[in-house]
Amino acid sequence: MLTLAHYLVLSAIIFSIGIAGVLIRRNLIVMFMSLELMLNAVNINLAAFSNYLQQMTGQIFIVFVMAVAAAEAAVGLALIISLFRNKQTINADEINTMRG
Amino acid sequence: MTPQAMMNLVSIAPEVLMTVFGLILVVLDVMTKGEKKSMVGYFGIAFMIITALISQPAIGGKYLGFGNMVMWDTFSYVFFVIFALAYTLTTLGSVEYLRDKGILKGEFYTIMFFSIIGMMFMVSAFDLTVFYVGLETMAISMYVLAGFNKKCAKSAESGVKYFIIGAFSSGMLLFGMTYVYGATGSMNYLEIAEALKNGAAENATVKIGLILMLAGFAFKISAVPFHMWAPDVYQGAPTPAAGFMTVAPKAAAFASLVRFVWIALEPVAGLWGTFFSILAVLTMFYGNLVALSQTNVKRMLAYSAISHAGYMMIGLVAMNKEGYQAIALYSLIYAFMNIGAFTLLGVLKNKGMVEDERLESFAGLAKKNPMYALGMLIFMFSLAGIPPLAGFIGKYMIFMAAMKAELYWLAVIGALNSALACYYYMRVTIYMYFNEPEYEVDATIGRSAFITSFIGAVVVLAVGFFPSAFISFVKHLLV
Repeated sequence: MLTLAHYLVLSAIIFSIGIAGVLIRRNLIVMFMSLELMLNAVNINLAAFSNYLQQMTGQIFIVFVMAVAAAEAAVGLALIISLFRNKQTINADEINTMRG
Repeated sequence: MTPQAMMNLVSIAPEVLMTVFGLILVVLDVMTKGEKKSMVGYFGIAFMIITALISQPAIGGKYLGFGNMVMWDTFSYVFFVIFALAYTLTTLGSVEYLRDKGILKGEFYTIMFFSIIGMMFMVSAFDLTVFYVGLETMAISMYVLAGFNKKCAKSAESGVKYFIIGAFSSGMLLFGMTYVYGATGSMNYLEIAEALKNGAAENATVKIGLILMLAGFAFKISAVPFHMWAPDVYQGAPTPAAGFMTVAPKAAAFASLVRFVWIALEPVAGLWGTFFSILAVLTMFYGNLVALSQTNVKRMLAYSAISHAGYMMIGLVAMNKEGYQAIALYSLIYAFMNIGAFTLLGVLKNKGMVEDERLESFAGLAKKNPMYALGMLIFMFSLAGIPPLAGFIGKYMIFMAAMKAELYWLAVIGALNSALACYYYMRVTIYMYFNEPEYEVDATIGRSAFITSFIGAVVVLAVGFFPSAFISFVKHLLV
């Protein structure tokens, strides 16, 4: 029998993988994918809580999160492309022209 | 129409009006060509003025609509006016800079306009759903603005950095929100407060959720230790966009934070009070100390923006009527002085040097371009909080709010920090007035930059010399 706790643990694991991915990986595309993982962990959490509380609010919020994630993907990929055109790299360690 | 439906419509009317105007701006953008693109921005200013005139709520009036999700009251209105002013000043001052860099495009104005709709929703939100959507509308527009100069590697870099960190902090905020939702059973501020009062505050889930949420908020207001994105982003972004980014999104984040923590988290005031007073101290000290060692003026202003967030946090912790009046007043004054300073910074051009905003570029400007030096002097003194300029009034109000809440130690630390900050603001003026130039610099103020810096300087002086009229006006609006 799956309980609320199972879903929460699952989403916490996915969220941690996402955070670790953003902090550890140096490829911007992989970092971006990790960000999406974080948002998907949020969606699992919302769906689980929504079912547990027998409310629609959480499920409605999921739609907003997905819409925003899509908009973010469009802008983020465009920014990464514009960076690549300027510097020929998408390695996060090499985007360090500003210091101080 | 039923009264409830009418109320819903009134509560959301300013945002709807702004959205319609924003769509008109998109059409105008298609209809104009080349040099005329600045018309899009000027139409935007006209639209803002119309919205501001139409949507002013009655003093003390509260229009709560859509099942307590959106609130339009004088607080939302005052912050809308601050965003509109930031937009107006940036638009007026940016034309020459954008033309110079070859990025005079209608999108610049349209995106700024839409980001303001997001900010309005953030401030009006009485529900985490509305708040989140408003926040992202604002944030995504800001990523675009930071990376607006596609041909410039620095701008692209700043855009990507802002995007990664911004999305990361949104993720944390959201994950915290889900826990708060799960434990309190609601997204509504009032219902969250109710649930917290009835014992949900003891719940570990709520505590984890709140900590994650507050960390996400701290990212958005660039509080130390969540600040590391700010200097790079502000330095790399096109100068007018950077001026806008240091003012409007920060004001929006603070206003929504005031709403959220004062209403929804009122029962756990001790928890976030400690959190934010520690952050305020760290932010002020770190921002000011690191700004001392900067040789790039734009980066120095970025660190100064961080330290100013620290001052505003004192008003947040104070949690009294004076506190939110002070935050509104500070944001308003900050809009004039910071956008003025950034506009003048955007005017400065080195001949043949890679970096435009070096401290040495300011050397000897007083002789060559006295108007420019005088303008910069006024903004720098005001940012440092030297009486009798507007910046001093802002800080004074903040410290008074802290005194009223008996947070004497925070007020003292704030005052110490503004003394510390004098050094690096003064250094710019010392370079301008007492040093000899090492290389040739062009600081001719164009017409549009002149208008913005003139308005900024006049307001800074007027507020500084006649503060009582100004303060009573804000107090009248924010009862």
